[in-house]
Amino acid sequence: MSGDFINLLADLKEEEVLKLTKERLDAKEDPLKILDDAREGMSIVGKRFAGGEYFLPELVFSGELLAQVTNLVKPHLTGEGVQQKKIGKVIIATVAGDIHDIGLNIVDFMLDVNGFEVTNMGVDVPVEKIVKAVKEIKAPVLGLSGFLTPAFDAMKETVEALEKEGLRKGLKIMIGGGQMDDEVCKYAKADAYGKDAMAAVALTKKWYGVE
Amino acid sequence: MPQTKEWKDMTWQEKREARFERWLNPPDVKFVSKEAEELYKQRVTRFIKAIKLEEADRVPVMLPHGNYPAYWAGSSFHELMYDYKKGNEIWKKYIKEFGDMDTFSGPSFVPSGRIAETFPSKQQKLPGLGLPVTARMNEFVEGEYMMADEYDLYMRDPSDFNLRVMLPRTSDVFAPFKNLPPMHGMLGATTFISIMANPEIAALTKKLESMTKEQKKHMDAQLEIRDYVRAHGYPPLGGFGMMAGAPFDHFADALRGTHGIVRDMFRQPKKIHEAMEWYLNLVVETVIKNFPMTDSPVCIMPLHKGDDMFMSDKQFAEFYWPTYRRILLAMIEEGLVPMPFAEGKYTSRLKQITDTPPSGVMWWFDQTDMKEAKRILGKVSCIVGNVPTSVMITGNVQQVTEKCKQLIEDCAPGGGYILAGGASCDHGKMENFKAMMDAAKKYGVYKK
Repeated sequence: MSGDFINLLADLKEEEVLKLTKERLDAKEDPLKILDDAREGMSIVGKRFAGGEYFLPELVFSGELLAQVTNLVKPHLTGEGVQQKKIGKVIIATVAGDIHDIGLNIVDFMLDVNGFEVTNMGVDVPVEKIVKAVKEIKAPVLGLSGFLTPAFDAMKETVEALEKEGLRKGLKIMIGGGQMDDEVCKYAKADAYGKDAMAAVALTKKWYGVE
Repeated sequence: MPQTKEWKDMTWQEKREARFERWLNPPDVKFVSKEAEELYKQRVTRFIKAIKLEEADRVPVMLPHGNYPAYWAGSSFHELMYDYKKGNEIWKKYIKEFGDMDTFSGPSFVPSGRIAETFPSKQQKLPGLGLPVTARMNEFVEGEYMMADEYDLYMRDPSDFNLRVMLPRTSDVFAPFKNLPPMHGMLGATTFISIMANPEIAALTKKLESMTKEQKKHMDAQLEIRDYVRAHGYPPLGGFGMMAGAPFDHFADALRGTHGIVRDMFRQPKKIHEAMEWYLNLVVETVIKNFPMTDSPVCIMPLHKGDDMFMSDKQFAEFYWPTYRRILLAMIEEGLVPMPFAEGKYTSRLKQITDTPPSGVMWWFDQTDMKEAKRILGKVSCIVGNVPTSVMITGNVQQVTEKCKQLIEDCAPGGGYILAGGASCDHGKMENFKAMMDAAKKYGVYKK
C-alpha cells in the first residue's frame, strides 16, 4: 500500500492518492507513516524535476496534492512526534521593492519537503528586517529572491548590511529569480546563484554537508 | 507606392510592403530637418532588411533604455507618473545627449499617478501605490481572479464578465458594477437611465468622468513625445497600440494565475483548450483582421509562461504553441510583423517555433542561447537579443563590448539579426548603452 501511495503521489494521480489516503486512515494506519510516504513521494517529484522530466506545473501540482493529503491526515495526528526532525534552518525572502512570490514559495516548499526548517519572510522585505532575522533566527543559510533588475541593488545592499553588522561570516547566501545570474551573484557579493528550486535545495544541502 | 489592389485581394507580402511603406514614409510626420528625415529612413530600412532576413548596411540596434532617461536626469518613475511634461522634457534632453540611435520611444509603461490612485487595482502595484516610492517600475500581482468553474461564464460573454465580475473583483472602486444588469440586454435609453438611477453607479460614473481631463493630458503627452521623437529622425520599433499575447498567457497571467492554471492543466485540460480556441478566434476576428495602419507594423508581444523553466517541450506543444502560432499566422496574413518577446529562456523551444512563414516573425529573446537561435531559427525568423541585464547594469564598457561583439559574430552573418538587450535596464549606465551602440558600428558592418 505504502509503495503504491508513494508512486501514485510521484505520478501526480490526484484521485487515487486521495482515495488511498482515506483508505489508509480508515484502516487505522499510523498517520505519521502516511506523511513519511508523502515526503518520499515528494522527494521523487523533486528528483524528476531536477532531472528535467518534471517542470513547474508538476512541481506546483505536487504541492497541491501534498497539502490535500496533509489536511486529511492532520485530524488524526495526536500530540507528540508530530514534528519531523529538521536538518537545519534556512531564511528566505524576496528583497525590498520586489513583490514576486511564486518562485519564493516554491523554494520554500521544496526546502521544507527536503527536511529544512524554513523561515519565509515574504516579499518586499527591507534590508533591516532581513538583518534582524539573521541575527535572531541564527540560520546559516539565507536565500534572496528577486524577479526584476532593481533587485540587483537590493540584494547587494542586503549583503552589505549583513557584512556591516558582522553577520556575513559563517552565513551562506544564495540568490535566484527572473533576471539573476552568476554576474549578479558576484555583484551582490552572494555565495551562489541557483537557477531553480532544486538548485536551492542542492546548495543548502551542500552547505549543510548532507546528501 | 499607389495601391492598385483591394486590401482583401493582396497577398500577405503585399500587405506588409504597404505597411513598410507607411513606416518608411510616415504621412503624419514633419521632420525637423532633411538630415533627420534621411536618418529616419536609413534606420527604418535597416530594420526592414533585418526583418526580411537580408543584410543591411550594418546590424541594427534596439537599446534597452527602458525608463533609464528618468534616472539619468535625476528623476524617477514615480515623478513621471505625476509630471508628464517633465518626462517629455527629460526624454528630449536625453535624445540630444545620446545622439545616434536606430530606434527610440517615450517613457514606457508609466501610467498616470492620479488615475491609478483614484482607481486602484489589485492587479498592479506602482511606486508610491503599494510599492516604495523609490521603486523603479510597475509590478503585476498575479492571482486567481477568475475561478476554475468560470471559463464557461467568461466565454459566454467576456464583456459582461469583465464589467460585472472582473472589475469589481480586481478593484474595490468598481464594486457597484456588480449591480449592473447583464450586458446583452442593454438596449434603449431607459435601460441606461435606470442604471444611472442607482446612486452608487451614478457616483462611480462621476468619478470616472472626473479623470477624463487627466487621461487626455496623459495621452497628449504620450502623443507629443512620440511625434517629437519621430520628427527628430528616430523611428519607433513597435507600433502604437497593439500588445496582444499568447492565448495560454491570457488565461494564465491575468485570469487564473500560476496556481490556478496549473490545477486546470491537470484537472480540466480540455476546458483550457476550449477556452484558448475560443479566445484565439475572438482576437483574430475582432482585433487582428483589418488592423489599421500604425506607425510601424511591428507588434511587440510579451510572452510569459511558455519558457523553458515553466513548462516541458511536451506541454509547450500541447498548451502553448498551437494557438499562439495561429495568432502569429493571422497577424502575418494581415501584413503585420509580430515580435514575440520571449521572456526567460526559449532555447529548448527553438526547434518547435520554426513552423511559421520565412521572415514572418521576429523573435526577441531574453535569456535564450543566441548561437542556437541562429542555427535553428535563423533562416526562418529575424532574431533579436540579448545582452544580459546583469552585464548592462553591473558590467563595464569592456564587458558590454565583448558581449555585443560575440553576439554579432554568432548572429549577424547573412542578416536577420538585431542587437538588443535581454530586458530593459532602467538603472543602467550611459557609457554601457553607448558601448552597445558603438559595438554595432564597429563590429556589425556588413561588407558589400
